[in-house]
Amino acid sequence: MGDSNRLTLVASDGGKFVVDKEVVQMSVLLKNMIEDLGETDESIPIPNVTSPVLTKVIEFCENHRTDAARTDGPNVDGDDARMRTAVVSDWDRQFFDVDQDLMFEIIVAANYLDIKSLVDVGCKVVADMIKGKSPQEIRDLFDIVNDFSPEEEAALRKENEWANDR
Amino acid sequence: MSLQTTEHANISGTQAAPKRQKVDARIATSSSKSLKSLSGLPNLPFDILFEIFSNIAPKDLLHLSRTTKAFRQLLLDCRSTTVWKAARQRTFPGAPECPEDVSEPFWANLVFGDAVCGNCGAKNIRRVFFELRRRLCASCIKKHSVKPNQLKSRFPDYDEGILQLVPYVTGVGGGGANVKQYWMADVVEMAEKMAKLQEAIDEGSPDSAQTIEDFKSEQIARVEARFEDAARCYDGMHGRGETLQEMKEARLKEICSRFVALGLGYEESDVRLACRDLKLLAAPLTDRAWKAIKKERESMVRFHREWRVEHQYQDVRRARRKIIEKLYNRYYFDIKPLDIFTVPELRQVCGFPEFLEVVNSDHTREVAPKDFAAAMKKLPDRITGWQKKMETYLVDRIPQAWEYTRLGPECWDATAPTMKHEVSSLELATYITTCDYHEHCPNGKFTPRKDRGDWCGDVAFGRRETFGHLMHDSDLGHLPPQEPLWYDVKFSMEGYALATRLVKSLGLDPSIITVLQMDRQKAWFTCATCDPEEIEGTSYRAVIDWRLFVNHYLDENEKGNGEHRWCRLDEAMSELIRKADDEARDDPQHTIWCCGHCSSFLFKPKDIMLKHVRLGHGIAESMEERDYFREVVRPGALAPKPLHYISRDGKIHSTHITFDPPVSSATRVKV
Repeated sequence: MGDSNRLTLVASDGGKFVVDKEVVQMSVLLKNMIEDLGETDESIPIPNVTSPVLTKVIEFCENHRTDAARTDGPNVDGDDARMRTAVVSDWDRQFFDVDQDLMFEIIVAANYLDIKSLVDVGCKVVADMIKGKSPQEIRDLFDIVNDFSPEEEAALRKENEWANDR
Repeated sequence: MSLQTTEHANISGTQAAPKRQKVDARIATSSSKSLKSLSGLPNLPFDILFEIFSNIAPKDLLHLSRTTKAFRQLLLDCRSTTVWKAARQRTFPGAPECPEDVSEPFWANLVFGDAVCGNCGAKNIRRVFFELRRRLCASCIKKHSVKPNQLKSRFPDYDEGILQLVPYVTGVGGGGANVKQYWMADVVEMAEKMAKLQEAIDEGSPDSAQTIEDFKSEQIARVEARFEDAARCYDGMHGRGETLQEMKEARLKEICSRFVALGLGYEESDVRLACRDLKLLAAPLTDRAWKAIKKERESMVRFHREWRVEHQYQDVRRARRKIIEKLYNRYYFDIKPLDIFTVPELRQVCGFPEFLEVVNSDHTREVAPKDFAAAMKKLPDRITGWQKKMETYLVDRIPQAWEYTRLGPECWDATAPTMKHEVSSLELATYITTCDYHEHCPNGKFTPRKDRGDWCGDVAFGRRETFGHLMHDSDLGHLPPQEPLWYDVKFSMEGYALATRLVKSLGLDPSIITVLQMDRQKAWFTCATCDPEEIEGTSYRAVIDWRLFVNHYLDENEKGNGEHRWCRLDEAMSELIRKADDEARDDPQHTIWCCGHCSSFLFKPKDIMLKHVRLGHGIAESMEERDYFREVVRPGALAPKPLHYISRDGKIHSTHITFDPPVSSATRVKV
């Protein structure tokens, strides 16, 4: 019989992760699954998330497990919880100091697992990357191909022509 | 312009359905593909993208909408209106609301877009004409607008009544304050609309006359509404300025409270003073920004805290220092006059920890002289410590051997020994310093001049005289005690080289001969470089001792007058001068002698001084430099003028210098 406070997550590539239930419950998706399954020794498969991504997600949840306890409290409303993450902490910033592919995969995985705080932080980090940059700088940063024709680009420069009534 | 048409079809919502399908299709394909195969950001799920959008400002949304067609389509879709609105309201809560008849992206571009003229693309154009809903430069307004009196000449076919259907601005682009200026493109567009309606009338369409009248009434109402909106927007922009100010103030307050929370005694006023020139952003303070600000500003905040603390109870501290002054004056009185030059002055004494502790103790407490008893007991040790510290300071500044090479071969023999780095060196005749102290320009704001009294510039011989120059700030006892930031005394390498040669010329060893021993040689010199002086029709040269020659040499050197050479008088001549000098020193009118045992017996003739030493201090066999001394050895005393002159044929002309009272007449001795 395994430890009833821990359970095993299985990543899409077969990687297994034994994690505290308290940590796992930061994910609304997994929390609901655990409630549905009841006491079980069965592993929970996470089909859309690879091992490297799941490692990072668990790392985040481990670090923020106490935050989760606070935000789940009965007197804390959603807005308050949101305010708490208004500023990205140094730890979170460091956490997202990874290559862009992995960063976006973490955000997508967090969205899938429904871990709001991780989605929030990830989106803020991406938003901070965009802030104050010109269109070309944004393209360069995210390796986006410019698909406007030269004529269309010229038109973009005169966006006051948007003035048509709605 | 195809791009525009597509967007506005979306924004208006009239053709929204097919466009929405296109966006959804993109999202559907992207979410099912691996992120690694595509560029990450554009392929994120819709809800994540909107979460990201909700964290950026309108201007960033505009820039994002110009990166790719997909982003443009997504952001200009009517369903994205809430994103724009939220960004505006979150970032600039006081900014003007978007009017009902324009889209949010258009409004964001107008209010928050790049500061370029919407017509010619000129940069740095901040002014938005809300009546015209355009950001325009003055030059374009002037070129592309039409005044009512110009309508007929520019557009002869247009009816004047058309102008009431078009918005205008006043007082810009060279127009008078009340002169209306209509944007020509607006006039032409309205004329075209009216022409179409007119065509219908001409074709005899039923109700077309009524249609044109209705259109006119509606358009006039629209123009009026536009003016009302514009007024509201101008107010809003003003309000935006206020909001920005409030946000900056909130940021500053946050900085203040974070500094105060450090618990280091900082107060809000310290932080505000330290951040006076800080460029504040109109945004909440992030941890990252706080770290940078703390690193950059904390030393300034600390400085302001110290200044405030010092000045807060300034009067209390001053009164306490006054007590120290009285106690120290009493102590000072008992010190032998020759030793006075080597004890610290009041300002330094106030800085000794035991005194400082009492001065800075609880300001509500009454402090009496007895509170300083422990400090006074410790004072002799503190003075000894201070002297050692100063000696170390001076020894450390004796140059290294290699530094003498810059003197050049004409005044320095490279094989000659250099001064040793030890305290005993400070007593040598070759230890000569100059004082660069200048009271009024500690930060070097102007060039001090010795002749104007701005600058000390004195030459000091040996330890005792040099010590005297370390205490130029002694009269600033009322100021907070502190170690001087720098001392102004410099070891004179030129003086060292010259004194070495002078000592050697007397057959003595410069490595052991002290200042006092050199004085006792009573050797006499003249300057061979200076021209002789004319006195009563005879040409004389000044006869000077070694101290005066060093002073003269360094003075001339500093003025750029080159090396002055000395000439030592021969033994017969020296004997004559010595005799004349002894007479002058013993002259009852020559008041240059000070008692070596008490501070009150100063500037007396020699016979009176000897009597004072014998009777007052019970010393029958008195000795110069121990029981009495000449004024000239006091640190800071002016170098005396030459007492004796000698002519080519050996005539001696002697004069006396006096202190108080001055004696103008000179005694002349003819040999």
